[in-house]
Amino acid sequence: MSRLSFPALLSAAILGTALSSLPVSAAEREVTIGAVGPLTGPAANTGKDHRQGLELAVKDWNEGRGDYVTQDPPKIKFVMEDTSGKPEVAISAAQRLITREQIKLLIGDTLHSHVTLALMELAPQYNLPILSAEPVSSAIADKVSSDPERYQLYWKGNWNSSGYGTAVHDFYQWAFANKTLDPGNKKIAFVVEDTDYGLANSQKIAELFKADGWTVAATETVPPSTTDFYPQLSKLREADPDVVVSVFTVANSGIAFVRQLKEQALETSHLAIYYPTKPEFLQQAADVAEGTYWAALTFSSELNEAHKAFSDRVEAEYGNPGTYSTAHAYCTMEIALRALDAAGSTDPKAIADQIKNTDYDCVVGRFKFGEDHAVQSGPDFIPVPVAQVQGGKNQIIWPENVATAKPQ
Amino acid sequence: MSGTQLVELILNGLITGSIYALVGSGIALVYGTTRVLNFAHGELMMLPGYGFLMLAVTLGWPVLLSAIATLVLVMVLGGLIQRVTIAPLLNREDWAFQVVAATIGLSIFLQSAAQLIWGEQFQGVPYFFSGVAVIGEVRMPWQRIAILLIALLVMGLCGLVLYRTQIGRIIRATAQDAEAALAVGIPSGRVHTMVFAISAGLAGTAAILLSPLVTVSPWMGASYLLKGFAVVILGGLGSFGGAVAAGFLLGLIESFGVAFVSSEWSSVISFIFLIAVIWARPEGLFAGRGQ
Amino acid sequence: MLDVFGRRPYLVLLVLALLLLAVPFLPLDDYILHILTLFLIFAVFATGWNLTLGILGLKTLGHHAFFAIGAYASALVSHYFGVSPWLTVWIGAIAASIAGIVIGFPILRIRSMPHVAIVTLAFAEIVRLVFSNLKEITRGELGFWGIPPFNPIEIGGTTIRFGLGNSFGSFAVAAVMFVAIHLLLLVLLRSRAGLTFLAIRDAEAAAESLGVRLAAWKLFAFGISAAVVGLSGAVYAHYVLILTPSSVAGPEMLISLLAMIIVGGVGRFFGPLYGALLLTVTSELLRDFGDYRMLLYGALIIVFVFAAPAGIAGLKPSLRRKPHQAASEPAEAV
Repeated sequence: MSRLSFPALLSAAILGTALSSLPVSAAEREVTIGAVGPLTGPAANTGKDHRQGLELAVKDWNEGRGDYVTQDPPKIKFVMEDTSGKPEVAISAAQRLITREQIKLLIGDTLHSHVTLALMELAPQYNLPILSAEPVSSAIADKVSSDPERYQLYWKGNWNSSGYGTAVHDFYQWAFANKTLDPGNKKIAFVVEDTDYGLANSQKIAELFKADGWTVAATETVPPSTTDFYPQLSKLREADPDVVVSVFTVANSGIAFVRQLKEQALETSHLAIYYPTKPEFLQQAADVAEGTYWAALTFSSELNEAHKAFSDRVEAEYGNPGTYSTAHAYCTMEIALRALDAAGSTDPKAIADQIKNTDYDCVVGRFKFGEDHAVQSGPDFIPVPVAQVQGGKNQIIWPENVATAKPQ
Repeated sequence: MSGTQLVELILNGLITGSIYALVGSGIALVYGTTRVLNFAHGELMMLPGYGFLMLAVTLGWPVLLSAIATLVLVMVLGGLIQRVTIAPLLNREDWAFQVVAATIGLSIFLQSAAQLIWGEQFQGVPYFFSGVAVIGEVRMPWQRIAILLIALLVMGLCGLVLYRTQIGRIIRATAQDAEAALAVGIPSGRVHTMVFAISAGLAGTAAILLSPLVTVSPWMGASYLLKGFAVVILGGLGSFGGAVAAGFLLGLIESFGVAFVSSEWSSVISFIFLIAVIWARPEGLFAGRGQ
Repeated sequence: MLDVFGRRPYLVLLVLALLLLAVPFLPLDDYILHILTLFLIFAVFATGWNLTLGILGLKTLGHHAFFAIGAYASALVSHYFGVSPWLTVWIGAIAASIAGIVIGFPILRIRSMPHVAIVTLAFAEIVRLVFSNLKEITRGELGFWGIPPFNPIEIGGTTIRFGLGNSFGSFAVAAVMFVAIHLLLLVLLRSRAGLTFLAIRDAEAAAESLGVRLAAWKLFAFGISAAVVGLSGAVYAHYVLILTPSSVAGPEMLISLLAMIIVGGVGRFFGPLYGALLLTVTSELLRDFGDYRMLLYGALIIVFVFAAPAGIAGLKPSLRRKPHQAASEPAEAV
């Protein structure tokens, strides 16, 4: 046997194996929905919640417990792939779902704004309806508004980060007005993760505060999953802000930040965005988190009956309580399922039109889309309440009409 | 910049530097004695991190006991790695690169294994020393000060062993000329294993000290590996003392980098500094003569 | 030379070219073509790196930086200045080549392998961090999307499109690059240049004493090697249409490519190709077990270093022994 043939034979064998794993495509009356989300990586816990929420919604739908639109809803097959939080992995995964699983609708990304910004390009490219779940960055909505024709099949299943910004700003205005807090020298600082999510929030809030005559003392961006904030806090001490806003999607960063903030004994009002929604936060940082303001308490088993009922269902099904992410994913899937049902076919345009017409009350709030293809936020739609950690528990302190306690 | 911030900056730099020194001196020791570059050294940090977590948090053992047990375990592991994955390769033609390749493979294998076993969840270890030291305006948690002090203690101990004991002399002899050492009856193979074990102990110390601050994850070693290598080169490849000094220097450079430029560019500055030093003075800044 | 190229390297290349030519006529779905396209791109990357690593013998661990430079340079110029990707890929290759020569200078003076390895690693980290930090231009880790694919080509009445989603066109580009680069390199390496590289690898001092200008040749090899890798990076960018610093210049890329070269056979011309095929296919088959992928790569590297240091390309089922091994410096324990 000459030297040539053995490695070549091996390659042929490998190629053969690859080719033989072609899918057997059967004509089925099922419609396949795909999803991509961070099932591994630092946000894996949230991705897991998303998967549970999505699966549960499909399960309910297939087993007769769905919120149907017509008498003849389609049966659904659901496949979810991992993005590891990376856009290029997401694109590859989505491509696989499209070509191998023949999905008719994609829910993606379930968490990351920056992944969604890349993923939405696939909507026009593959003529595929795409619905993102938790991502909120306004950059997404801006992109849609800049070319609605191109992104007609893309819809954003959550409100815009400007919703956070407005809520935070309005909360502080209210707190200053009724003397709960003191604006001091009107300096605000940010310590945020270096993602579209972190940046969008800090930019919007900065913009609103600056309009009131505030100055931004510092904006420190850190890589996601950072847990050592000493250099940043040292700098902040010099800057001496009156309000500090922190934004992290990874619970550990938030926990470390709050702890180190306490150690530095900065005289400032701290408002956290996102990470206190994770159960790990109160579990691991209860001792140092007392008094922290945060946005947004959109889901609480303790304070809301419907939320508790949902969480219990998730517990019964999967052995762990439900979180905001689980509930939101469930609602996002409901929207997708109802749109598919109402459309009566798998025509992308028809599905997109039905998504557009959604006006649906779900566990998390009322889902209705705006001109920019994003869900609207606000008291009539999905509220953005500000909470505070009091006595080791979360209480809603603003807006007053949904508040469960007064700020301390 | 105020005096307070300057003091904190220097302190932070020294604290970060002490970790770099611990990691780098271990690598330097191994390289100086065996000429082996161990790319799995980061995992010799990560694994004791998890080990300590299991013992101190999951099993609830007292901190000191957990630390000692972890150190013993990681030193055994270090020796084992040397025996099983490195020693057999040393007889080959292309051994230097093959060892590098094998240890890279081992490193990624261990990282993935840790991820599969312990999952993505970053674990937290509670502080050993609570409270904050307040000197004037300067605030520094005792936990962080402890890192600096304990690191200095451990490295000092190591230095003592290297320069004042019989074993140290044997190690240094092997480093200078393994064949001559063999001729005098020193079992260089065993010395190599011992040196690996010591370097693992240094890395393990770093991991234990870091665990309450940076939380344990499968990748906690990886980020220190390249910095560790940088430290070794800056200190003069193979020099234990040089690596220690270079470690502190690098920590200070980074601390000032973060303060004056930004967190993102501080690593770039460190690495450009490294390349510049290699260009101008390849033998390193604190070149000893093999130790 | 027999070690490096095998018996009839041009024949092997011809066979490969014919196989590739046959692919579009097989009933393969888009996804398989996607995998093959990736394999071809990475095979070129691996071969380019092997030029320095295996054939010149310089143990560099930073070539993924050139991949990233080629990718980003081409993507940025075509996106921001509207230049056709058909042109910008060459800009990418040249940019990578220049970077290769620039980093080549400090490395020239270094004789010790650890220094070379660590400097190149540090260089790759710098490249990754620079791309990550220049967020205004590259959007850093958030991903640089909006990279234009290759402009469509009209042939006869049909239009061939490129980029993700247009599997045939993309495969064609990758295949053409694959065959062309391997052909060019084969010609180059079978000439005196190749002999010089191998001489430098196996007996540097001797080569120098015979009048070989080491510095010039090393820089030359570096430049070519970086250019090839940069070209593959640029083609990659215009295929996947999205880039992030850690995906192209991060440790995962280093490990994947290193695994391909080691598994395929360091120092053998066709080695990286086999490694790339095995690993690209395995990686996709293991997609559902994402966590196990890196585990497998690590294990593969270790196993191959121990059991088959010559890689797949060096596997010899026959019992024929080579007359004598090329001797290199004995292992030092000092």
